[in-house]
Amino acid sequence: MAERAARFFDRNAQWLFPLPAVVAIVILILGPVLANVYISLHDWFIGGTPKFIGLGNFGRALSDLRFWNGLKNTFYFTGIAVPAEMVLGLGVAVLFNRDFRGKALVRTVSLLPMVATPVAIALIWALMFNPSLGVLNYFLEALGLHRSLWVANSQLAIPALTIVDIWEWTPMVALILLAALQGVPSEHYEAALIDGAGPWQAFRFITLPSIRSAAVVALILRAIDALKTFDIIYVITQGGPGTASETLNVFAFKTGFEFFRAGYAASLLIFLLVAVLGVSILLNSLRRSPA
Amino acid sequence: MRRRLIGFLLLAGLLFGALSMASAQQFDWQKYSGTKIRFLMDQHPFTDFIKPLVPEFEKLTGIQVTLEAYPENQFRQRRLLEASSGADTLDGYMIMPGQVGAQYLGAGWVRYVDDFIADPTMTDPNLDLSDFFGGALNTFKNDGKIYGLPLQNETSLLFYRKDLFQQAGIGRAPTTMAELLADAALLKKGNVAGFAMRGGGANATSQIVNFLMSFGGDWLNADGTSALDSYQSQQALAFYADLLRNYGPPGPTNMSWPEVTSLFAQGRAAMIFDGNVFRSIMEDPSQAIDVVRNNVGYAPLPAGPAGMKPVVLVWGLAVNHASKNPGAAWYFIQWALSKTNQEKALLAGVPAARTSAWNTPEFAQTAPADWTKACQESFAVGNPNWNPPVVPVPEVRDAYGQAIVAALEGKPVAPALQQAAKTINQVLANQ
Amino acid sequence: MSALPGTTPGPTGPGRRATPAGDKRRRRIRQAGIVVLMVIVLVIMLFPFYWMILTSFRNQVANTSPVPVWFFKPTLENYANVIGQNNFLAYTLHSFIIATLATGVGLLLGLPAAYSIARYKQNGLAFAILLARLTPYITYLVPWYLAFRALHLIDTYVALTATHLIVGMPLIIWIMISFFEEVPRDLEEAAYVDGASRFATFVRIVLPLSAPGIVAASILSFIFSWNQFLFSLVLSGPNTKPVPVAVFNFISYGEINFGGLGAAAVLITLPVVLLTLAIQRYIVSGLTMGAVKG
Repeated sequence: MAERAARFFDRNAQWLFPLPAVVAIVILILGPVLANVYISLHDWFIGGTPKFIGLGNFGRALSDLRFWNGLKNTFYFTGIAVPAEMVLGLGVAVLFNRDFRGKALVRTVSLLPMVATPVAIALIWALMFNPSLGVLNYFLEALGLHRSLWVANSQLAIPALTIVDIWEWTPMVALILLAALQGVPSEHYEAALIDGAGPWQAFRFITLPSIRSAAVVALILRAIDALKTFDIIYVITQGGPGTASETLNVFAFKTGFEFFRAGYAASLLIFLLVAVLGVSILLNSLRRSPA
Repeated sequence: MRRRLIGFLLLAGLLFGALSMASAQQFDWQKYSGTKIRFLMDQHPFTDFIKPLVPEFEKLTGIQVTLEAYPENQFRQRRLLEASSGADTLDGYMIMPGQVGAQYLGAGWVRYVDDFIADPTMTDPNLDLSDFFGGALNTFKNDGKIYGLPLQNETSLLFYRKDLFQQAGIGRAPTTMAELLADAALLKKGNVAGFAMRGGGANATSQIVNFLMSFGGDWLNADGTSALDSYQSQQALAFYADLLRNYGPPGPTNMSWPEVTSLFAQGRAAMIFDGNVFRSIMEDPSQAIDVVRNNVGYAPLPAGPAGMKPVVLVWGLAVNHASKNPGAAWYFIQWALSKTNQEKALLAGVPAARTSAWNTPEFAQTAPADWTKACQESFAVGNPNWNPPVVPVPEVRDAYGQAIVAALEGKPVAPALQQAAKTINQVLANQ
Repeated sequence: MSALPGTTPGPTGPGRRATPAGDKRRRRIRQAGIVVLMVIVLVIMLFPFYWMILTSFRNQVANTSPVPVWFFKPTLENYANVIGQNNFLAYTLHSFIIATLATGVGLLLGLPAAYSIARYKQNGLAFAILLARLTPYITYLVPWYLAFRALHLIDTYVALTATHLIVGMPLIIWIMISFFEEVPRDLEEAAYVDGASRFATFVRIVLPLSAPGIVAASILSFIFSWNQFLFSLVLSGPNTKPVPVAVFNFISYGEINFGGLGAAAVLITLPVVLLTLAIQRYIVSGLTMGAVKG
C-alpha cells in the first residue's frame, strides 16, 4: 500500500510538490485580486451603495491629470533611484572587493540600511530634512553652502526622496554584485594584462560582462520594489507639496483610504500592477539574451 | 374631615417617598455588569487622560472596557473599516463630527442616543446636557437628534513671544489682520520667522479656514456649490500667502502642526497660529526652550475685514451602530464625559467641552489667564464648520490644500482657487 | 600590490613585481585613497542610525533643536517609556511569534515548490509566484480584512501568519530555486535508483545539502516579516499587535515624540541587527546565489 502511494507520489511529484504553496497563494491572492477587479468596475463611495459602471473608472483615470502625474512621478522616482543604486552599488562592490581586515564587519554594517524598520527610518529622515530644524541643512551651512528646502520644494521633493531610497537599497545591489565579482576568475584579468589592457579596458570588457546576469536580477528586483515604493513617500511628504511627489501607489492609497472612492482606487491599483508587470517582463527579457 | 386630610397627606407622603426612592433606584450604574465593550480611540491627550481612569469605571459598573488607540491616520482607517463593515465587536469610538460626521450619519454608522437620554433608567441624573458648550453639543446633533457627546472644544489661537514683542517695541498682540502683517514684518529677524502657520496642503485647511471666515469667505454658496473661488476667499488666501512668503519660515508647504509647534518651541518663530491644545508643548521644559516657556503669550484670532471668525473643532464619543452592547457603551460615554471627569480632563490639558470645568478655582490657578480668556472668547463665537458640511470632506480639503500650496509657491491665487472650486463641485456632484 | 578593477589580489594574484620607490608611493596613496573612500561610504551608511541612536537618548527639545545637540546628558527616559508604557515586550513577543510562524509555514510550503521549479524547470510557475510580490500590497488590505472578519480571525496569529506568507514565501522560493539547482543531479539519481522515493530523496539528500540557503532564506523571510506593518495595521489587535506598530505609539494628536520614536526604532531594529550579525555570511551567499545563478 505504502509502495503504491509512494509510486503515485513519484509519478506526480511535479504537481504535488508545488501544490500546497500554489493553493496558499491562490487562496490568499486570487481572491483579493479578483475582488479588486470587481470593485474597479463599480462607482463606490464607502458608506454608500456600489453602482456598476463597467470601465468607467479606467476611462476616468485616463482623462485625470492627477493619474498621469502619479504615473509620471512613479517613473521619475524609479528612474532616478534605480540607476543610481545600480551605479553606486557597483562602485561599492568594486570598493569592497578586496581582502582587508574587518571585511566581515564591513559587510554586515553595509546590510543595516535595508534591515532597519522602514517607518522609523523614514521618520528620522523626515526630521533630518526639516529646512529649519533638520541636521542636513546644518551640515550644508557648516560647509558654507546654501540651505535647501529638500522635500518642501516641489522640484526637489522626488529627488530628495530618492536619496532615502538610494541610501536604503544600494547595499542590496552592492552585495549581489560583490558576490558576482568574486566569481570572476582572476585568469581572465591576467590574460588581459598580458594582452596590454589597461584598468579601464579590463573593467569594460571583463568585469562588466561577467557580472551581467547578476546585475540584471538586481535591476529587476529593485525596479519592481521602487515602482511600488510607499512608506518613504507617504511618511515624509504624503505625496506633497501638492502632488509633486505623489506616485501612483500613494495616489491610489489616498483615493481609497482618505477619499473613500473604492472603485476608482481599485482601477488605479490595476494600472499600477500593469505598469509593474510590464517593466518586469521587459527587464526579464534582458535576462534571456545571450551575454 | 381632618382625619381624611391627614390620611390623604399621609398617603401622599408615602407615595411621594416611595416614588422618590424608586426614581433614585431607577438609574443603576451596575445595570450592565458583566458586559465587555470595546472602543476605538485616537491617540489623543484625552485618551492618555482617560485610560488610567478606566479601572474606576469598571469597578463602578462591572463593565469591562478595552480602549484601542492608534495614531490619527491609522485610527481613521481602522474605524472606517470596522464601522463600514458592521463590526459588532466595535461598541463605540472617538469621532470628529466636523471631519466625518456627514459621512457616518449618511451611512448610518452611528447610533442615536436620544432614547437612552430620555430613559431615566439609562441615564445618570447628573448628566446635565446644558452644561456642555452649546456649539460643541450642536455638532453632535442631526435633525434635532443627538448621536454622541463632545469631549473637547478645540480652537486655534495666536501664540506669541512677549519678549520679542517688547524688543520690537510692539505693545500688545495684534487684534486685526493688518496689525498681524505689520507685526510679522517687524519681528522677522535672521532665522526667526515673524509668523508661521501650517501650509502642508489638506492639513492646513483647518487653520486657514479661520482666515477664510474672517475675510468674509465660506465653504459653500447658498446653492451648495463651492465658494472657495469667491472674492473674499481669494483675499484670504492672498493675505495668508503674502504673510508666509514674506515673513514666514522656509518650506511652509511641508509644514503641519508638528513642524509649526516645534518651530515656536525652539524659538524660531515669533508668532504661530495653531490649536489651543498645543499649549502643553510650550509649557513643557522637555519640549520647549526656556526663553519660549517663560515668554509665551496667547491671543485669539486677529479680526479680518469680516470680523473675528474662529472655528471650533470638536472631538467626542459615539456609539457604533452595529454594537451588541449599545447600553453599556452609552454608560461609558456618559461616565467619561461626566462633570467630574471633564474637570479633571481640563486640568490635564484637554480643552474640555463642559462650561463648568472651565469655571473651577483649581483651573483658574493652573492655566495662564490669557490662554483661558482667548479660548473662551473664541468658543463664544466659534463656528463648527471647520470643514465644509458635506460628506466627502477629505477630498474637498485636499482640493483646497492644492490651492494653498500653489499660493505658497507664488502662483496666482485666483486660478488656483478656481481650480479648487471646480474640483470640489465635481466631487460634490458625484455624490 | 595594485589591483586591477574588480579583482581580489591574492598571494598569487595578478599584479606587478617588486616596484621602484615611485610606484610604491603611488600604491600607498592609492591604498590610502581607497581606505578614505571606504570610510566615507560607511559613514554615509551609518549616519541615519547614529542619528537615530542619538535621538533616542535626548529629549524632545534637544531632538528638534536647529543646532544639533552633540553633547548632552543622555536620558534613559525614552527607553523607559517604550518598554514600560507600551507593553513593548509583549509586542516583541507577538512579532517574534508571527515572524517565526510565517517563516515556518513559508518553508513548509515553499521548499517543495522551489525544488519542483528547480528540478522540473517550471519557469512559468516561478514567475506566477513572483506575481504575489508584484501586486501593490494595499490591494489586499480591504478584501483580507472583510474575509478574515467573516471568519472571526481578526487579531489572531492565523490571519497574520497567512498574510505574511505573501511577503515571505516568494522570497524563500526564489532564493531556494538557485540552491536546489546547485545540488548535483547524480546524488539524487543515485538515491532514486536505490529505491528511495522522490520525497525521501528531497528530504534526506537535497535539503541537508542546501542547508546554508535554507538558513539564509529563513532569516530574510523573518526580517521582512518583522518589519511588515501594513497588514498588521488592519488585521491585528491588542493580542497580536506587532512591534513596528509600537513606533506609531509615539505619534499622537498633540505631539510627535522623537525621543520615544528613536528609542522604539532602536529597540525594534536591535534584534534584527543581532540576527544579521550572526548570520551575515549566510545572507550574502543566499542573496547572491539567487542572483548569480538566476
